[in-house]
Amino acid sequence: MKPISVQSEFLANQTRRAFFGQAAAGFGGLALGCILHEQANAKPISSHFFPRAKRVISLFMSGGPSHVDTFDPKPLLAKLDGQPMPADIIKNHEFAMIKTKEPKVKGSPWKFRKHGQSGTEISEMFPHIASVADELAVVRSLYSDTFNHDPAVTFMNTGNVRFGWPSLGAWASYGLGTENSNLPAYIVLASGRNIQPLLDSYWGAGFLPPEYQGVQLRTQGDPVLYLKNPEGVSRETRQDQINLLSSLNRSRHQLVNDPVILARIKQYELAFRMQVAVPELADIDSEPMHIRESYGAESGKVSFANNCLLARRLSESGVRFVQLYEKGWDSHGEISTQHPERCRAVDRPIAALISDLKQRGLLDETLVVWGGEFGRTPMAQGSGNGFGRDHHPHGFTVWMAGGGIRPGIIHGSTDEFGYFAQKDKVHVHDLNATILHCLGINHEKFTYRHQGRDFRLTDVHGQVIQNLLV
Amino acid sequence: MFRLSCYLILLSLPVLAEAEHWAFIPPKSSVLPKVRDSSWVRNEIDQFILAKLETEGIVPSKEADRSALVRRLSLDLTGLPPSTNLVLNFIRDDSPKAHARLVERLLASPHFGERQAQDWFDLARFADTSGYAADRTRNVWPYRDWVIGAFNSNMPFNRFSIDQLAGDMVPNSTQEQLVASAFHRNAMQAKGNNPRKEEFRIKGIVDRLETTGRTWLGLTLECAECHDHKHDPISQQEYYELFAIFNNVPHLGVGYGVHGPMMSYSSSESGLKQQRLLQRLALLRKKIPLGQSKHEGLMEEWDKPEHIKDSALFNLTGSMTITAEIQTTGAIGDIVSKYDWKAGQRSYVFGIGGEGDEKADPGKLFAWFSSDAGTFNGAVAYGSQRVDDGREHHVAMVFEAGKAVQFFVDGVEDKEVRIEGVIPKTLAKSNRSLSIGAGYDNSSKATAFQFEGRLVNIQLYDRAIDNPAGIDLSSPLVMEYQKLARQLSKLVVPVITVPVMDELPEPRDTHLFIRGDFKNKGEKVTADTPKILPAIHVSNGQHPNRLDFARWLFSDNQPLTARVAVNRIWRHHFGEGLVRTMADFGLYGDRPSHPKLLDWLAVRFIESGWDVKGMHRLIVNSSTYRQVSINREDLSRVDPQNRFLARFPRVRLPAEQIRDRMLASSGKLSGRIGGPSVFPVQPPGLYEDRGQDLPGNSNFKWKNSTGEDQFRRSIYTYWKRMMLHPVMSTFDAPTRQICVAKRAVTNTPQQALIGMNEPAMHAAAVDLGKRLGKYKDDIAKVRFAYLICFSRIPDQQELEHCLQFIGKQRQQRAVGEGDEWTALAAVLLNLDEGLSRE
Repeated sequence: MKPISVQSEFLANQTRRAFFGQAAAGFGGLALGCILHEQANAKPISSHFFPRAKRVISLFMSGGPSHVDTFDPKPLLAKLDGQPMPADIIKNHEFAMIKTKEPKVKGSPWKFRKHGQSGTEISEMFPHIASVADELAVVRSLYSDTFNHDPAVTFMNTGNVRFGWPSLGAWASYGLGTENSNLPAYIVLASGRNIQPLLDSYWGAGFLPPEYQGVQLRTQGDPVLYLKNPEGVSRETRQDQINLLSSLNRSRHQLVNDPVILARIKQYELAFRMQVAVPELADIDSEPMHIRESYGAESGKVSFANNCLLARRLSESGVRFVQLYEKGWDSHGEISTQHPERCRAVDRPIAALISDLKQRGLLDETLVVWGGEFGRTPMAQGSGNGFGRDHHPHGFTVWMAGGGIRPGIIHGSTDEFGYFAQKDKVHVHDLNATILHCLGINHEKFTYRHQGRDFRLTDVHGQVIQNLLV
Repeated sequence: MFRLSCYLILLSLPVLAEAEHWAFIPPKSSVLPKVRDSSWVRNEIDQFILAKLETEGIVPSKEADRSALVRRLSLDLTGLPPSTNLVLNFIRDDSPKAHARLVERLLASPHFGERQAQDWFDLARFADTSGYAADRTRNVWPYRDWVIGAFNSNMPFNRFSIDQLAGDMVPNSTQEQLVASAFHRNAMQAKGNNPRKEEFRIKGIVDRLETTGRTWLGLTLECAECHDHKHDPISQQEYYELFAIFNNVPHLGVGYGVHGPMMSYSSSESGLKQQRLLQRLALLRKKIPLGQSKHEGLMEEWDKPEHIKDSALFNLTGSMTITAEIQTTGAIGDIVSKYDWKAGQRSYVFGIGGEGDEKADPGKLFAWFSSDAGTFNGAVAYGSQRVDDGREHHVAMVFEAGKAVQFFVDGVEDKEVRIEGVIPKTLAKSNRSLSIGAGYDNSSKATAFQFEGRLVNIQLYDRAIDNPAGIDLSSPLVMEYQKLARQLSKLVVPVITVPVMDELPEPRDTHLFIRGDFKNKGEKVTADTPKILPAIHVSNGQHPNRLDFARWLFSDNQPLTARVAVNRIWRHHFGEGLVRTMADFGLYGDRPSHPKLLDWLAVRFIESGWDVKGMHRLIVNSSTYRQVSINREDLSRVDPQNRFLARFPRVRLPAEQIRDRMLASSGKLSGRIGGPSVFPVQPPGLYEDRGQDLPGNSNFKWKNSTGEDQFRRSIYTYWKRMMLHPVMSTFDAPTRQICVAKRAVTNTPQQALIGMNEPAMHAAAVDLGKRLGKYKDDIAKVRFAYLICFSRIPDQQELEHCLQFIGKQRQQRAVGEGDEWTALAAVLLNLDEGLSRE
């Protein structure tokens, strides 16, 4: 089978083909353009090892949720509340916003309780997530390299602080293709309170062919840009147009013998089917009332709840990588009102998503990852009731659940201030290596040849965290 | 801190001794290879290509027909489909010279520059915004227009490059050369409200090196940022020696901020009018004998800035006149002062820009006089004309005690002088020395308000002089001069601020950064070029500067520059370079498919004086270029990647051409060249969804253009790095966050959705449908549509398919469904043939 587009880069790129085997009808992994294959002949690709997870749902808390107020309780902070942070811990450290020389320790205003059989400690801001505590593997020892938003989000997603590298979702759709040729392999959904902008490059394909980039499904207007026919063009007329397009394209193909033309025909036909398939899928009203209520979804709104329900529908339909961005976690001030607001927005939908996936038997094959680009400082930024916390990349929390992940565990820890990752440290590259592992991909062997070199998501770093795996 | 290293898995390629690597040996012209079928050969390119084909036992393809050639040439050279007239004329012209004539016509088209600039901008990472989260607008379109103009005027590639790399440093550089230097200000720039301003400055330099490496040297220099290059002979030390060359742009200093050096630029119509006026004024001025006569009451005259040691001198207390000849770009500076701002020694000052006085206008004359030395008590006079335009001016100030203050510029009185305060009858004495343009000598700020530029023929009189420049105010010459000067002062010229390069007088210290971490400084290094390449000539001092570097790229024995450049021109026409890794000619880059041809072209390019149009001309006149693009069965077997070029490659059009072609077919495409970027229709809410409209970030709203601007060529579309226009991004245009040497080409259903549903595309179909209305007959309509869309006439089968479609639409269309010809036009505009260059 020939690749559908004449990309010499692609042709020259033998590496992936070698690893996934020629059985890789898998070239099909052409994102929205998965294209050549109908669902019927889209065979699973042979992987490096048995994939526990077939799909990923990434819940990205954009702005950086505070780990010491959510999943990493630090009683010492309450004890030393208001006292200067020990100088030897923060020496030589710069902060994004804290300018004072003697930043003060700040205890969490929220109570933590142990939940489930695992006894995982979770803040009172997450009562619903607490109810699925036994499904989570909480990583309390993650650390990153950079503390400004866009480099840090870029780093979490692409393993590089600079723009121009492919995101994890793009790597996954490139490596594994799609399970549903009517849908993009990598879909992005956004909600929340606007503080930092979301950038295309967060879900970009970098130097991978652009068809692997994430496609944002909009929750208002056309779910996919330009999905609707122009006014005055009926479905019947469009059908006739597509038919004429196909026959004229086919006769050109007979003359010039370029396989690209056949691929183009398929694309137009696929686009025609998507015009029906995507709105159907995006229509959460077709879900039973009790399901909608469990998520707290209300049609017509832009909300994380709607997006979680949509994520389940997309994932269920075979979308390889669904990424949800909830904006508004950047609480430099007023954390005691801002964080509860964000937590309320995500708590119930996330718990519902996990239960729903589990109930449908999908959780085992769907990897759910929760986290932001960094945590927040154990020290206050500002003072009094309006205090906030600053960016903090040296130790923070993410959790994972589902496909391939050992449920009900805590992995690693930060020091007693919640400042540095201390025990069983997990670098961002380790996290990404582990996610790829769950998908059946060896991150060290999964490369793409670009301008004469082989690149990978984890650069020359990354270790799979075995303790997290089933 | 973490940095990415570039190399991961070494493939088992043969390891070559570095010095023997082909790309590091200067190209040499070899003897043209022998061919059996010399009748096929039109020029040297064909000889190389055919020789290889004959060795492989492959026969080249036949020549494409006239329709295909005119469309191919027009798209390749101008980026636009040929007009129907051009097609018909070319088809009817059976002269053997028709092809070459058409080539000349297209090379001379002003749209040639637009199409060539488009590829260059992917390298130059030209965009309208700064990048990163804030992604603010910056005015770089004058740079865009400079590049288009340079291609159109066939500026030699060496000058084209040197101006962009170091236009600011070229001796006596012009405004245009300064604009060209914006090339390296296209690096992304963070807003910088964080402690890591230095980090972002460093990132900018890393980007400049990466871009320079990819664009001119075909080397992935960036791989040596954190460690020695893993397979090319470039050490980390050498990387930082190159870094040192680019490390001297003023940034973060006084007057620069995080945004770096800027220039004022005006190119609008009023700007041109201003230039014309200034030129005429300068000519007239030469004919008017300004300041050549002396008047009674002359106390002293000087011919350069200085301090008068004896502070008792020139303590004028009544009327006075000061005249001088100046030439400056300094907006603030004193011409004559008797004053110390700190010690309470006030008397009088005459200068430009008002010493930072908030009410003063920079660049305009001002003066003040005080009757009290301790606290100011008197009058300030503000002139209304700028004199800091870098041109010669004769200026004069006349103070008539208790009555008036007048300014004269080039002999003509400024009638709009603004005076604040009461004009004193007597002036206080100051015990400070008289300063002639030399700044204060007598306070803690010894050099404050020094006059910058040329200051000569300074005269001081102890009385008010009527006509201080001493000219005949009734002569026609002076009358005309006065008239033009008044016009000039009334002219409002919009001026924009354009980021450009500048060089610090003293280079910064550069250190190697251990593992690429800017906080982890290693050894100090000095500017130099890698040892594997020829030595660099140092023009000044001990170490090469950026201008030396730019010239070095074009020095003798430089093995890479010409090869990389011709490879790019080659790819423009043949879809792939002779070396397919456009930006990597190193040990792990692709091998050239025709090494001797590549070298021959490189040498030819150098010997032609880097003649860019000449290189295009050579290629598109060859027989190799004129072949059909049909993929023969035998070729898809023996040469599936078409490396031997026994056929012409069929490629999908770039994003810009997809849209431009739609607009051209609709008949609405605007041919206007240059100017500020435009905003083609885009769905509402795209930025708002992402929070990109927030104040403090880009604070930006997309306002759809109206009128002609909706139909401008895509090269003028506002290029927002962090969220490109969906039509551009969906057809694989790069965001231009970084230098891209080669775009990807994809084939996705979103492209189909755009082609059929995007409002501007749909409008093009409607307009094309209307254009067909000029024919009554259905067959004629279809034929005309084919001529517009594909530069050819449909065959019988195509014609029948279209007519059947029209027939069916007529039967079944609902009321209000619009014209059946619109429906057909949409189909034709979306056919693969039209989206491709065959």
